[in-house]
Amino acid sequence: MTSGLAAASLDEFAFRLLNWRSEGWLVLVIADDLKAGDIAVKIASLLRALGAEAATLVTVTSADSLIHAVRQGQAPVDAPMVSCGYERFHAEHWRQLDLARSALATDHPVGMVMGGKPFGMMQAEAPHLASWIGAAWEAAGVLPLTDKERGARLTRLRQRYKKTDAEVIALAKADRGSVDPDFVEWLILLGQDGVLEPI
Amino acid sequence: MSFSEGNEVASLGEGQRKLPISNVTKMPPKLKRFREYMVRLNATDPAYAMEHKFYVPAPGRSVADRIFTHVSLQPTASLAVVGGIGSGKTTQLLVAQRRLAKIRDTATVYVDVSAHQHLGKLKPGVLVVLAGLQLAELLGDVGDPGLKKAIKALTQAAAGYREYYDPEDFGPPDDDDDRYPGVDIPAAITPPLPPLESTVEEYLEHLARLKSALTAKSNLVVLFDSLDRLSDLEFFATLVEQDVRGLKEAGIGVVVVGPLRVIFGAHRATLERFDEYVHLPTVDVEKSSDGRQFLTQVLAKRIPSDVLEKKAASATAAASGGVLRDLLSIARSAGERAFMLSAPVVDESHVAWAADEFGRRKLFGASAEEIEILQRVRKKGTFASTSDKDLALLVTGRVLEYANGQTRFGVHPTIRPLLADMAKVKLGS
Amino acid sequence: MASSNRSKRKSLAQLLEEFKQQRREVAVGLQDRIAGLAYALPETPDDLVEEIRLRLLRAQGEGRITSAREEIWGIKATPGAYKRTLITGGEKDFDRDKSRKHFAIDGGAWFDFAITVESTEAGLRLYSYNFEIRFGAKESPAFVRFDLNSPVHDNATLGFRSHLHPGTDDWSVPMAVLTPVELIDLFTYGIYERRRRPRTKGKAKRA
Repeated sequence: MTSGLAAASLDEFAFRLLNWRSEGWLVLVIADDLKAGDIAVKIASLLRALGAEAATLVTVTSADSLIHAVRQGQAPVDAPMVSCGYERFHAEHWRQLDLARSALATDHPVGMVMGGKPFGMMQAEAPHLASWIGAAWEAAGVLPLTDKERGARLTRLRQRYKKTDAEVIALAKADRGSVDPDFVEWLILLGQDGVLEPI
Repeated sequence: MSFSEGNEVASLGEGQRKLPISNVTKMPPKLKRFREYMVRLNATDPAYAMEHKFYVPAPGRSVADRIFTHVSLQPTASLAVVGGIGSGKTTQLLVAQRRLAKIRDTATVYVDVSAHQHLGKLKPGVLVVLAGLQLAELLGDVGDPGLKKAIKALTQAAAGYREYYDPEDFGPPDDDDDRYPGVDIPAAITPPLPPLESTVEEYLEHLARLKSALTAKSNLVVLFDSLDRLSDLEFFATLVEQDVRGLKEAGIGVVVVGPLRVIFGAHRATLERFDEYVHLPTVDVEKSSDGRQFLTQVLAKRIPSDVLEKKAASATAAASGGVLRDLLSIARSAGERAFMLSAPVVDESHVAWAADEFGRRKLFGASAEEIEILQRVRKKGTFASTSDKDLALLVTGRVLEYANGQTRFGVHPTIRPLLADMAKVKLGS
Repeated sequence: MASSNRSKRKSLAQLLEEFKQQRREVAVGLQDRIAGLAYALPETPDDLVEEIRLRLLRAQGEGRITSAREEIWGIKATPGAYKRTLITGGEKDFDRDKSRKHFAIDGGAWFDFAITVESTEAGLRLYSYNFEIRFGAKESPAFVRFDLNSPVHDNATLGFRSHLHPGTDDWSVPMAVLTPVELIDLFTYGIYERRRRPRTKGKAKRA
């Protein structure tokens, strides 16, 4: 985790946003090499896939444009909104938003997609806004098995087939062994599936 | 205990009347109940909390008590209230307003300045105009032409207007004095305070006219909220010099929520312009058992223990550091976590997750220098109230101030373990 | 005359070998036909996990999956060599023991899965998988497992790369390759609906 924030995959974030019925917006902080607009589009489509009747996507350019989008937007009152464009915000934009924080109260959940720099600026320049944010996560891909989970799966494989790791690797290398799904998994868990030819 | 589906009733015991149970008797994954859990933990709508009887009086003498006492004894006094973000200032103002409303000879008006006025575009006179507009609402339909004129003037002042003048009214000077050059001699006496601006004086005249119409009430007190968000302390000082002074001179009581930073450094002089100031410190959850109990009661009032376990409520209180908004925010997050996992109740593991998420968010973006200051505060409790960097950490809630008989400073509990880990990593390298 | 006839006659071993070869060709032909059908997967392993999760969330929202959402968020994607990814849902459970983490289906059945995909130039491809749905030891069948072996497995040459175990680990029948979402739909909609409304009620009647 690069930012130190708790991690969430995009579908987790979308699910949380869809079900968020409290004050405060939700923030998704993305890595610098990703485009907030692309991620926002993805989240909007995930919201619809999760059952949202509508999902609004808003690109903001300033504090005023965000307030306008929230207060006078055409979206249905309870449709979740995904916003992006915060990379354009200067410190003064965040200060204005901090002062106008009350104008950001909505009946529908709002997600903010932004990089680490704008989020840091929000924390520094808009403390009232920052304290009102519902939660913030770092966008992450699907997590791999933890060491503990990996170990548990390997233990069960060894018990089931009564073989050692070395035996399984040797069999795979000799191409004589049964490389059924359990053994493919076994080798991947050991980091040894390089012995299997690719498709 | 079986869980209800919202339409069932709970038996209170033999012979007792059956009452419909609140929807919140079961935790998520039932979506409806999860949503009600979240709504009950909303922090920024204190009016909602009071309407639903969620309010829990703080231990000891609350800010609301102090406002009430001060204003009821001196209705024309001016009072400043300062406290950290999320410390419950608005709630205390609303509680005070309700109590003051019971005083027969005093009319009390609450004004959330941010709801009416862009806080980035404030001008002197704004508080007077807002007070006047609220008073006009209180008076309702007025027949008196003088009152109507005053209301119209204040309404126009609020909206802005174009004033027309006849250039012929400003013809060439016929005063002999203007034909000759002169020299300005400075005044021998300079008053300690600058004069009120003409517009402020004009607004005050209209306000005084409206106040005189309060026949049943001889006193008017206005509670102004949201000015704590101002970061420009010079401008706050101007508002105090002009509007607050003007209102006081007009015999109107004023309570203003001001920025926390005004307590420290050179701007403290602004507070001296009030008759009194009240500081709302963070609830000392570590050193005061009353404080801990208060916070768990705040949660228990909103969420029953079969939804938010008692140990989870205590853990939430500890994690909040005593900041009421953070208490509710962490509880909400814990509930959301439980919902994500389809857990039947919110337990300590969910609170631990929520506290960790909260802390990571709170610490995000802190510079190396700020981390160093935080480490100093964490290890030694040393806080330099004259340093801008230190004050910024106080304003952002990374450093908390406790005043449980003796002022002390500490880092927010949710960032403490993160800072400790950073210190270990630094030592290791 | 007799000696020339003897030289033309094939030996029993040769005949058996030919028969085996024919069987193999038929089996492989069958496999190629039913398991060689094109299937569509999303672009990346993460996209596939998203697709699986959305399907499971929908099934959960409809009450067909009764286990906690924790299992859905617990689906993991572990990288391997050659741009392979192991996607796991639930815990490895050879004992068919409900105490392991799994996806519970309304009505008592439960399942878990492990899929290996490979990112190739032609897109994301299925390398191997096993999806097992269990109904309990007293049911018949007690379980059904859908296996896709690796491309170089022996079974592939016998026409059993993709197969189904109908309640026994000892034998299997050829089966089309199904995508993970198709298998989840089968478990949560297809089999679920059939089990709720069985065709035979009481004793079977003979003509």
